[in-house]
Amino acid sequence: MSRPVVGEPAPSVSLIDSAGTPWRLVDQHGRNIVLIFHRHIH
Amino acid sequence: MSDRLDELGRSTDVVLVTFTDPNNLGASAQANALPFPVLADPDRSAYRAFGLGRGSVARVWGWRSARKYAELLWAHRSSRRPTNRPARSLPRRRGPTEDTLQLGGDFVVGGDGTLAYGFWGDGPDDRPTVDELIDAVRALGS
Repeated sequence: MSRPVVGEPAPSVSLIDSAGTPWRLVDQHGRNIVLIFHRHIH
Repeated sequence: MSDRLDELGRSTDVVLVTFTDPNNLGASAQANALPFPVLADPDRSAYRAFGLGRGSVARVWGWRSARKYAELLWAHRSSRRPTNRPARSLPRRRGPTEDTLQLGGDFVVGGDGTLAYGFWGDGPDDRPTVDELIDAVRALGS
């Protein structure tokens, strides 16, 4: 599985919020985003 | 991370990505009292896009994970023990209902859409420090 490269554009991903509304990373333009991908111990 | 959000500045948002069923998001966020949104990636397409695969059984369920689980259970037990009563048995836990081999990661994306920082965990207990994440955000200079 290839990894995105630091310093290059982040992958374009679409997620779903608790209201069922799509959340797209590209729509967050202008804000810094910290993405924490869950693993089972947290 | 939850108690240090103010160190990230006003132009930074934190989101937790999970592959749980989207219908469980509200309960999960409420149960964990998280001060940031929980977002669902049920088909794990975002996990794959960020290069997050599945770990080996040996690594995910190995001694490092066992030690971490023991620490968490001990902390949970200690925090709930009444001072004048003996310790109760460990909390009953349901078996895993999701893919426990799925690996996690932590990423910082700048306001211009550039991937500024990436951490790919090699097991469930492998994660960056909060200081590393804060430093990565601060390095963006905004």
